[in-house]
Amino acid sequence: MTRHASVMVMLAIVSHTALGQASSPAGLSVGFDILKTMPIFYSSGYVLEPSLIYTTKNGLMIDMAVGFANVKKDTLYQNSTYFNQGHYLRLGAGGMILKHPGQFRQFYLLADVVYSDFTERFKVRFRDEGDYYGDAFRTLEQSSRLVALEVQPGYRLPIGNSGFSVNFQARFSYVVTEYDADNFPVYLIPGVGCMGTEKDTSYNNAATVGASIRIVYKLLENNN
Amino acid sequence: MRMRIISVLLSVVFLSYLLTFSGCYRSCFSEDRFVASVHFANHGQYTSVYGWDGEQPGKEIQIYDFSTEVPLTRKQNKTVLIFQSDTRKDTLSIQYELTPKLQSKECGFYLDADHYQVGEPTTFSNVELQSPSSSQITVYIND
Repeated sequence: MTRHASVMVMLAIVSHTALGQASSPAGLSVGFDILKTMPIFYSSGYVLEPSLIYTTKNGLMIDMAVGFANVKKDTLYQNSTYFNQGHYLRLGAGGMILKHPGQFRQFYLLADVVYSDFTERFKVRFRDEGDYYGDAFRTLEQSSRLVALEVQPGYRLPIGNSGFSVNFQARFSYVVTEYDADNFPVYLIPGVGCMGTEKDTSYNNAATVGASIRIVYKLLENNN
Repeated sequence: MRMRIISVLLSVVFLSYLLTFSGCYRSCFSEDRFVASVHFANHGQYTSVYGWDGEQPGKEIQIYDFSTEVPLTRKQNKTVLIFQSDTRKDTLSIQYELTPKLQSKECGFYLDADHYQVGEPTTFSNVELQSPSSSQITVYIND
């Protein structure tokens, strides 16, 4: 009896929210990436990525984001500390995949261009093995301006009629500009992700994959 | 008796492991000693040598034979070696270029040294430099 009642309540909530306009993606929304702010790939610092999403009534999307990165990683290479400071701009367009998405079937696909401008620094300690003169310290620095193309399949999960939603996105990125990696291979491109290097070489891979989770809040409804 | 056999077997396994993998171990260039191997044409000219990196003099190294090894500094691109005995004191400056390079993720960066040459101040007139590897240089003092 209790189980029957709870199913009835859930159906009532779903039917109520499905009718609500707040659960529809159409409108102007602001978003904030929460996965990037978690220190998964770095020891300390921050990556902030606010975004603006506009979705038309028939499901076309424009997605703009700016990002600010200032991160530090202690354990990247054995004798050094890594710093990355920069900013980026992401511009994307796409749309909802299903014509009538409903509340729990809001899948979308975006194609993006990312421009990332950043400086990487390594503070390196060269140990004097015999301890005759003492250790030598050097700071190696490299600035990059890179453009990447991305495809982002995503899923939008509205939180009832609150206007909030959680957007889950996978990201497939390809760096189209030449790397200017004179001193060391590029490790992290803010806004794109960690670029792997081929083993024991200083050549970067051009492709990477990533993920993002955005908390999105709809500011304005789109009734047109 | 059984314990003894087991311990012997374990020792054999351990030694085999060491012999198998010791040859494959790839050392980090950053751990290589950065030294000059100095050879003298004449025996007994100097009794000691020390290096100077421009900040403070290093410890004295005694010279007993026709040759000796002196550390070079990675702090700057020149090391001054001061050779001395009771009656004389001579100076040899070795200049080089240091370039930071990335070896691998496991080893990190190292400072690659090349373009060795005799710099100033140097009181010797006949010095020959040979660099068999980037971290080790052989110096022949023919004065």
